[in-house]
Amino acid sequence: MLARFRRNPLETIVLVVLLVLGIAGWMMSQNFRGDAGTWPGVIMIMMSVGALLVLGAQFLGPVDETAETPAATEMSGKVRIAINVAILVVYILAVTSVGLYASTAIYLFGHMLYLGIRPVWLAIATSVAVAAVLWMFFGYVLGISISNTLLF
Amino acid sequence: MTSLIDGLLIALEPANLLYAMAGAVLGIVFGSLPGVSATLGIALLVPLTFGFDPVPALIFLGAVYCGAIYGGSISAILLNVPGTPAAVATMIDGYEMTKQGRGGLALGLATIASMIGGQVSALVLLFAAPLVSAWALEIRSAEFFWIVLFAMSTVGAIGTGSPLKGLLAAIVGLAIGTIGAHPLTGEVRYTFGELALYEGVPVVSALVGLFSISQVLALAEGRGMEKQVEIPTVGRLWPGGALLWRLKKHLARSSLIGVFVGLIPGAGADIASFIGRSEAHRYAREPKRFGHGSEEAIVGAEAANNGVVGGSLIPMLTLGIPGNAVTAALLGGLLIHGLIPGPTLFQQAPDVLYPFIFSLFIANAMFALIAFGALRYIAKIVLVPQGVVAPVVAALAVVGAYSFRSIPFDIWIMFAMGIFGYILRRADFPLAPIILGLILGPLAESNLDRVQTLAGAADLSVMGFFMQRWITIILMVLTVATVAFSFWRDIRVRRVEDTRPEGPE
Amino acid sequence: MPLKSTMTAVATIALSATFAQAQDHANVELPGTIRVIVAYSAGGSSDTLARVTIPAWEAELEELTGQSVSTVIANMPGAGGEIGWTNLANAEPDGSTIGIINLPAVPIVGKARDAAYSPWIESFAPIGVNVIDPNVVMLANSSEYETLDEAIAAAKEDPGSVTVGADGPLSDDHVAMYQLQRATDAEFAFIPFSGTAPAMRAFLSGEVDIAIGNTFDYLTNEQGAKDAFVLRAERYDFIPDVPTIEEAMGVGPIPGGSTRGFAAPAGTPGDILAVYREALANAYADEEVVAEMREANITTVEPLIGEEFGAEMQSVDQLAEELIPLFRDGGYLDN
Repeated sequence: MLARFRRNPLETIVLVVLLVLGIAGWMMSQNFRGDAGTWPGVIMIMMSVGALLVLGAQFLGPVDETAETPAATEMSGKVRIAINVAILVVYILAVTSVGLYASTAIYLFGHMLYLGIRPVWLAIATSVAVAAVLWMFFGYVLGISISNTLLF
Repeated sequence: MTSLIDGLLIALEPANLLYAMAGAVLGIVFGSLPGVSATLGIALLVPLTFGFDPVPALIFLGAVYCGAIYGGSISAILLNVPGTPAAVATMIDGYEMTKQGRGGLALGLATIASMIGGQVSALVLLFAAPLVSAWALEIRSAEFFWIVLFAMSTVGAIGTGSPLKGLLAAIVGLAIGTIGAHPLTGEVRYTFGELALYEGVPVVSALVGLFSISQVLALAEGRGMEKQVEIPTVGRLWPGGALLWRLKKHLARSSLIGVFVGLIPGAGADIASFIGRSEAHRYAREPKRFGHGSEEAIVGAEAANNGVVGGSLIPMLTLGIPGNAVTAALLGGLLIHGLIPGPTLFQQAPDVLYPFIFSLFIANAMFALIAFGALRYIAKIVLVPQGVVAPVVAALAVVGAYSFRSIPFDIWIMFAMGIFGYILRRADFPLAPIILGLILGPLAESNLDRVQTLAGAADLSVMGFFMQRWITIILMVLTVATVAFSFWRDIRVRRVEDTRPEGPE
Repeated sequence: MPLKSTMTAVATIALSATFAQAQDHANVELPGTIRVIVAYSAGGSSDTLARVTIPAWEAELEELTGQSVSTVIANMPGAGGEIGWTNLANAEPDGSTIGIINLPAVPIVGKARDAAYSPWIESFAPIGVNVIDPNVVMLANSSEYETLDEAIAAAKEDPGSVTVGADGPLSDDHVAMYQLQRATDAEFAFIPFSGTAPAMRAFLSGEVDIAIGNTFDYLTNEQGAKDAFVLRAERYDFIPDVPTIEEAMGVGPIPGGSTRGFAAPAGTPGDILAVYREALANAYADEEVVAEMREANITTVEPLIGEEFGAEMQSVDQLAEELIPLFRDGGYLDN
């Protein structure tokens, strides 16, 4: 009775994680005070059951042979994603230690460079300009900054 | 009546005209940038409005909404790349026309159709919203609970792609929505002691992360795969009065389709444009030309997707129920100005809402003027490399997530939602239902909790309490029927080849 | 020294003002920038209060000390105010941070969740207050009861059969409901809403029998109420036609309401506190500020400065302590 699904390994992983999270969440909901656990409990069970249904459809239902296989599952693609994620993590860590606008400027330059923006002066100019505009709107006008940081 | 006239006058103030213009320009820019949808555009610009007064802030964001939905058609027509998911239906015939050297005509038609769709929808909004709002004042907790449930159920029934996965995504959103204090007792749940989560996952951070960081990674993934593109020469833009007159029925029909689709929770501009195009096909003079550069197709799709704007604002403003991801982002914009969308909003803030609604007429005229005046230059925006777009989007997301509450932890919430969103996107889950679930979950729970207490005070069971009012019963039946329809559609999807190229944004 | 009558309060301000003229504040070193923490988002009533009061306060500070200072209002919403108050309590006590504390929310939230600023009374040094917005109890037109007296009698007779809608849980309205329960031996069914506006909408639509709100909730929804009384020792000048609970029911007096005052983190040097208090007293006395507050619908009372506000804090703390068992029985507390 379910739709045709392409078999995407990532999807299977996501569904299993949702299934487990649902069960864990339901178990936690049993310890909430009074009626506070009723609604989360129901939602968590629904999430597990829903994940199970889609999983079932994935393995028991017809497979769509014509569907394109998802791209970038090869190693180089995964590494590239990991590097991009790492760049973002470093940026967010820098935001709370170095400062919001300074690290934004540096991050923009670094990420643009990594993403292949050339010539270098163009990347520098763009990052400084964008960081300056952000500082104008958020730092100068709204006074938004993160306290206890090195720069600004 | 005075609030209407006041609203119009405020919307016409020079400063507010400038805000509308700035919003329309930025909307066109974001909309036409492939990879930056209307939702993402608004989500990124909401924090920018922090320093504005509520009226200019809403005027600005409303204009971004109008401009972005329209702007998506520019890259669709010129480059065969949809700037927003709502432009996919325009792309087919629009790019054909560009290849035939009639790109200018396609852009001109898209502009006029978008503007007319937008004006019709703004007109409907102006008259319908106060009426719906007056009715909504009488809504009680039991009905509200079922309205929310009905909104959730339509996600599976209407969205593109697998209905079951749409519903599952909505449930994931509901699950995220259970984080934080229990509305009835204040018991804190799933926060692991993190104070920043006591009031739940902040909508703005979640929205920004889900749509921006996931998009940044998707853009970064495509590095090196970009090909050098050139903007083709387009020729004359103005389609001429005679041609427009010939297309008047398509314009009117699609505009109303847009408004209607916008009203339905779970459906957005992308779906409206497909319906608009296929209805135009059905009544077309030359249906055979569809897919080969048909003017009727472009008008049918573009009037519909901008028609959604006004329609989708009705449930958001009057009930606090965003029907799609864009209005969810706009809802965030209202919240940061202390305006809580819902039945009382029209009573509390008519001085904000009427100027906002009138400004939509202005914004729609504005983007058309800008398009006819400067499209040649604006179109160059589609040439900005993804290597620039992606980091800038990420930086806006980080600063935006922080500025909402000035809590550094919010940046991490945003980032986590982004990674989660990216994984879900790669696993072919739609993201919009997650945001709807996150916003609507707490609404559903608090109303159900109230119903329980009220039923207890009246010595009734919860079910017995629901059965007291007709409107509740009707809503219950509708919801059950919609869920049943989703399952039926799931079976049908299996049989019929789904030709829609993309999921909802 | 417990100060209750407003007459004494006025006298004390006048006194402190004359006293201050004699005192020289020029050698008190103020921080260049003073951060004012508001535990709610921009646009709310606490935020409005800060934005009206603080510029005048800044000007008074400069006049008193001859030093130039700048103030920044920092909105830190979240966790029902807990984030903002925790930040205020933990801030460096050197005068560079002050904030608005909201009573009874600070102690109630603190006790309910064992907040990081507990015990609150030792975490905040009072500066001053001029907003005590009294609670108003209203009976809906559509209710089957004719008067509040009748509704409360019914809630006594059949506990949990009469519904009370209000902002909540753990709000000042919720506290007021428990004050009412304690005074009348009634037991209501509490229907919490996320904010006063939805609660008042439910009240107008007839979903609940009774609503508890504050002054302006009554003023804007008067037409939907067939009976009302105010939780205050005397009638309130903003709503002079609303009787006190004592007049209406013969119980009380029960003072209940939402208090928004300024405080510094405990440990802030005494000389700085003295300047801050005097500057606030002067700002509260400024006619332009008073007019602006009226304009912004801020429900002012005679100001309580310094230790007078401290006494008010003590009495709210005692009330919170007394009501905690009721919150516990209602299922609102962990322990």
